[in-house]
Amino acid sequence: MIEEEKYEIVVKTKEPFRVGGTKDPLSGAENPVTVVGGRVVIPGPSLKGALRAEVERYLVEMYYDKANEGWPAEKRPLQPCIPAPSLSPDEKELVKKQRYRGDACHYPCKQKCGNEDHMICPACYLLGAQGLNGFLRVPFLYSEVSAGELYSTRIDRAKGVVAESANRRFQVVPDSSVFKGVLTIVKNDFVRGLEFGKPRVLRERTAGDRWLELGEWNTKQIIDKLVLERLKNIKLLGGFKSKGFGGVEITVTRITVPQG
Amino acid sequence: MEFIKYRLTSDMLCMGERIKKGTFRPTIRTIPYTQITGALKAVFGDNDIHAVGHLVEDKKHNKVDYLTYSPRDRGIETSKLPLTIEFLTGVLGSIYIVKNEVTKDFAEEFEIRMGAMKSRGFGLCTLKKLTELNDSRPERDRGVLNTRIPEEHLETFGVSGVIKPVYGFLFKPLSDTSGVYVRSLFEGSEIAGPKFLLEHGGK
Repeated sequence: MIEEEKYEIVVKTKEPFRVGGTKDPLSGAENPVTVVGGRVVIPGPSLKGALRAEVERYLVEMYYDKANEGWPAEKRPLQPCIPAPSLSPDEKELVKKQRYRGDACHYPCKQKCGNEDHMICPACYLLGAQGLNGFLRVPFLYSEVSAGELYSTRIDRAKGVVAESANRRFQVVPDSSVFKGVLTIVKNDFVRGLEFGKPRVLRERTAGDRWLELGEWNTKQIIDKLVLERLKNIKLLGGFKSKGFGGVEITVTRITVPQG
Repeated sequence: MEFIKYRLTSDMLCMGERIKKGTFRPTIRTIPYTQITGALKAVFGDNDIHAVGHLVEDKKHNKVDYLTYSPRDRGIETSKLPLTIEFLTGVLGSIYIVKNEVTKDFAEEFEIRMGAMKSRGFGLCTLKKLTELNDSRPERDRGVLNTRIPEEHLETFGVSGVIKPVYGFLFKPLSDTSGVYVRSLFEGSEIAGPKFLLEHGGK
């Protein structure tokens, strides 16, 4: 069976908030917020992306050698990857500066990897890499709040008035809205022989979870530092961040199942 | 031949595959053999487990919805190419598990994870036992198949004849990271078999 640890995540919006959804011809909203089953949500992919970004940032800030402008060789297994098949020019610059690893984590290594077997970075260990599941299941966060509507516009620089056809209505969720969901950490998967906090035994070509062989991280530290603290550290979510949107406060509480 | 019928419920389910380099991931509207059997094996081990399922046909459940998300450019903190997935909400389905030494002891109610995007909040399903079925003669009929079954498992589910096949391929895992596609009967095929495999119960 699978042993899981569950945590309730509560996101309280500190500012107006929106995660853009798909246009629904029935609602008439031009730029709607994301709604699932009639309820406004923070989608799992948005929260997972924000968490991954926080984990990456934490690892870079913790281990990158600013004085020598490089990643220390002995800490190489802790260097995060950019999980994308192709990198933008700006991302390539981050790789050049050794803030990130050049190759996205993947399993197994193939012919194109040459003689080098690639490691799985901590962020991918938790959240999944190409060809390999992670240990976390990030939830959709649901709210009982209703979305209001605002509109944005553009000023014609020459006339100093609102430009023609520039009014764009968009939906927004007010501050002090509450979103809730349950995060799952797979602690033990007896069937697949997985134990959270331990390197996975992988049969095909890979350097695997080398970062866990450094002896610096135990299960409690991983959960506290890389999951719970990182979640609480997310201060901005969603879109329109440059317009005063997106400030959030996140609390995480372990859900204990009563014995017997 | 005996089957155990479970009711499947899920908030959000996305099943199916994205075409390579595609930006849209459609969902299928049935529960194929490989999806449900794989999800059960993930919980109970790679044992002798065989199951199929289908979604119930009513207007209140299994509504199609869409979600657009996008990977971020780490360098300039903006979205890259948006990807859209199609998924089902308020999912209600029926699951039929072949009863044998392994499956007869399954709990009355348990949870599984099925389909795509499991690490992003999709795919948590609750299975609740409803009844046990004896695949006896009167419960057999001719009609349109409501699920997807690999040809090699048609006999397992008591399909006695294929009248008009609609073929496709389902992914059969050989290990955690590899597998092969096997020819399968898809929904819409005309078959002779147990009523629970037929649209509208074979009517």
